[in-house]
Amino acid sequence: MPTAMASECAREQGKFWEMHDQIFQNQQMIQDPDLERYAKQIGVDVNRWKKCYADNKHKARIEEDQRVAMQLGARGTPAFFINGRFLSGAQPLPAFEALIDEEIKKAKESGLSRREYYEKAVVEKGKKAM
Amino acid sequence: MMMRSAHHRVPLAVAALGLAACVTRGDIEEIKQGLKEINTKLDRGARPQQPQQRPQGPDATAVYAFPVGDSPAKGPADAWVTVIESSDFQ
Repeated sequence: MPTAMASECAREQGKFWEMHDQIFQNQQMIQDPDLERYAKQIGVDVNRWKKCYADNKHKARIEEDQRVAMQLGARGTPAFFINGRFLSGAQPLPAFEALIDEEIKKAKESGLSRREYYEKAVVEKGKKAM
Repeated sequence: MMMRSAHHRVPLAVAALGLAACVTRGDIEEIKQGLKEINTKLDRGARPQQPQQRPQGPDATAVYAFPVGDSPAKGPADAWVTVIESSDFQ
């Protein structure tokens, strides 16, 4: 939870992935002073970041994401949904490639445009588990 | 000396008999059943999770309506394929 909040607070300032990458590369060093150091390194406004972090500002959003994953039964991480199709755990690359290739083919044959495909074919027609 | 110790033993034996007389066959069955249940629970707790107790994960053949919302994302918004990752840090 602290790392997720640190990332969300960086995201406020447009630096989500920068914080994400720092934490991901230093998974043994994620105490508060470490997170603050990363905030400095990625170049966010540190005072604003610190206040956001201390206030647990984005806790509800993170909990909502966790709730959705739990409800779907995706209890372990990582869990992937490729155009809505579940792939569990850290699978080898070919497992991803196979699913992605199938989905690209399906999408191109759908007659829908790229812009509307996910919304129309996956979100609207998919199983509403949430 | 021998007499004294025998004397002591008598009331004890009586007390034990008295207890036994109060316990009916039904009571014993009930106790046995209780023990059985306790043992089953202990047994379950000691073993690693049984497959049938594993919580059901998402259906691999289904398509889930997973909204992207304003989640952090990489790549073009109009890609043919959208991969949602649910992850955490170690």
